[in-house]
Amino acid sequence: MNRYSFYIISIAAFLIQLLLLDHIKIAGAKPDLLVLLVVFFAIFFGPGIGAEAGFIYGLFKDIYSLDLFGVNIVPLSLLGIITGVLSPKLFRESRLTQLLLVFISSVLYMIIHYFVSSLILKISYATLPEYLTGLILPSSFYTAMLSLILFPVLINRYRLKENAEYL
Amino acid sequence: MRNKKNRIIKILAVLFAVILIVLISSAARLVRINITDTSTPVLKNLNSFFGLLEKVTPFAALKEENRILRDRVDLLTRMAVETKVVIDDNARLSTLLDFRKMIPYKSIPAQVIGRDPSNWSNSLIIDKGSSTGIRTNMAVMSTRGLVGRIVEVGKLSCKALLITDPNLKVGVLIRRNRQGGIMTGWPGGRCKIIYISLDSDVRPGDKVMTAGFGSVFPKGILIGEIEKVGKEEGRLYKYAILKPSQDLSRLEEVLCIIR
Repeated sequence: MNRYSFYIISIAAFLIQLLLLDHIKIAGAKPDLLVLLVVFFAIFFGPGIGAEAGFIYGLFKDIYSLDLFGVNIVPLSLLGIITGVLSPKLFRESRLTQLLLVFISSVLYMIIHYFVSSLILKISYATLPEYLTGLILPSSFYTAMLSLILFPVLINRYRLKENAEYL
Repeated sequence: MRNKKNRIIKILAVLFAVILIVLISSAARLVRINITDTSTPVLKNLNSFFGLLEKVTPFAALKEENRILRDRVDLLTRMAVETKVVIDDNARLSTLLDFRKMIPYKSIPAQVIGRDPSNWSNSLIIDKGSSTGIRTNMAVMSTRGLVGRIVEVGKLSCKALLITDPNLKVGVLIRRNRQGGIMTGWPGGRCKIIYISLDSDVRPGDKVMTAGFGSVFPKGILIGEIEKVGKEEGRLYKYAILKPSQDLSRLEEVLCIIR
């Protein structure tokens, strides 16, 4: 993977997330393209690139949202590192593994986000179970479903093969 | 070996940067306002470009006409509901007090140029900033009702927190029985009215408007319709889940209210 393609994909993903994904919201939930890409880069390029992607995407989210600054950078960077460290131990070429990894990562990211926000801001009128059913599970499911379409495209784009030296 | 060392250095660098950013979050707020401002022209052009792409598709003229007619119906529906409120208000107030009439408000029209990239906070990026008179805490509405409140203002752009965000609280009135409550955002694009007294006869289908308490939201702006009513467990209050009068994810133009 060269750096240019990483940044081109990242910029395209930023713009799609910022301008278009609200149009495909279902029941208030939209897929998170940036979480999906962090998981992709972490699975196929290791924890270093995973952490880098998590940091850049988290920074982008913090700039363009009204979240507390840093509340996206921390969980997304951690997600990149953890997924990158764990993925060599799993059969990462399996579609089911990828689907589950995206789903679990998205749920974990949002739970960490919930705890960090409610600990620091101390204002949340909804409880974690309410967030789980109303937002976390639907949007994580949506993101995981999107990975079924996008992962094969990205894998094909990078011509990823087992045991290849990707970087 | 070297590769592994590089990777560890990279991870440590990211973690260090994370800690640094969390520590300087107040300075970061200023930086992010400036970054949003700088990217406003790009976002504005891209937004128009995506809009243009949609218009080039077949049946564009019919689609456009349909959109204009829908907007007109929405506007008239909102006006009808709000007029009814004004009539009710006048009838009620003239018998009770010699109250002043509601003060009409001026507004600044603005275009939505971006939406919240995260699933958590619900906000909009708007193409007007302090140079056109936008200030923090201005109420934002559309032709169909209340949208939110301005929270961060740059020179060329600003961010509005939507009514579906749990961090926004609005004093509300249920139109049918004049019952008051506090509304806050709720997961799944809904709102929740809290602190409704147990003996209140709030029903699904009731229209909810702003109460006009405080200095942010003018009185009588339509917010939405009650979808579900329940009792808070272990508390002496009822709650109601409210569906906003519009799909906030498809907003294109908004009005910022000057009070």
